[in-house]
Amino acid sequence: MAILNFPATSNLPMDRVSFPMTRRATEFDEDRLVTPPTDATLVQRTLAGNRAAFDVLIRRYQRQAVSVSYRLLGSSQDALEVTQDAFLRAFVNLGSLKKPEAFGGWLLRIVSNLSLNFRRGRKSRSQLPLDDLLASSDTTSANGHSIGNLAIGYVDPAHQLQSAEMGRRLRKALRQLPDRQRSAIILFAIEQMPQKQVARTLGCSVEAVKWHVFQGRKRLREVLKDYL
Amino acid sequence: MLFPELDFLLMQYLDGSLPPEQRAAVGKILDSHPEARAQLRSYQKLDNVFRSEAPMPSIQWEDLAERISAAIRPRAPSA
Repeated sequence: MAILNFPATSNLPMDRVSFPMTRRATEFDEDRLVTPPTDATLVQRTLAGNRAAFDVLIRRYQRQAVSVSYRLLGSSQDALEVTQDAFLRAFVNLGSLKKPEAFGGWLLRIVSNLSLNFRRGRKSRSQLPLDDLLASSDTTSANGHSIGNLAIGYVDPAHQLQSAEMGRRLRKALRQLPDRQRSAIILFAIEQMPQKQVARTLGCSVEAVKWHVFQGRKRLREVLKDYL
Repeated sequence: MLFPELDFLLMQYLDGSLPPEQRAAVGKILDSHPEARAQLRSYQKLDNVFRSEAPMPSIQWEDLAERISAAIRPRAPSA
């Protein structure tokens, strides 16, 4: 159990310490590790039959996966469905991943492709009831408190209105971009992935990524010029 | 109106993806051309919009992770 990170003052035997926690602890709990396991380690352990290792990969990448899909699709419900499907495909096809250390880029490539396919097909219903995972601002209880687990900080109403309008325009403008430009903008300019990783994710060259980002930005700057 | 080539270089300048010599050359252009500086500023503002005005809906991440994990449970990865 040397991988657990205890306070230096602790003199308890490590194998007798228990933690208050809301979910089952595993050897991969990132909050407790001195050095979190690499993606490559987690992929290898998953392939060796350790499911808990894949759970860490899920927690490590689910936000980025949902974020990318959400921005490509413009629907959080669809993004949740695509993300779940992407992890499932990644898990089933894990053995085909040539470079385990590139799991993140590989997963996001699956997410991007599924999102673009989903967008083309626009399935209207999900296989699992995922609505309840959304904790949006309109998901409030009768007493006005947010039901969601995530804290939503106070935002000035005037700023919120302006932001909402700009966000609406941005999403609309993004939807109007060609697939490649939209994906490149989302991954590079919004998700701030390195160009190399964007290139791997989109299956194109770094130069092509630069060009798509350039064209996309030019278009978006035109659409959002009133705000710039 | 700037040349499209310069516009493309300005964007790469902003992204930090130019090699040092080209970066220095674009820096000189920026020093002497207000229009180029204004163009660069507009791209900087656009990037700020991307980062601050593209909010994500709140998700119950732990629940999502559990659901994905549960969906995967009956499956096995390919060797």
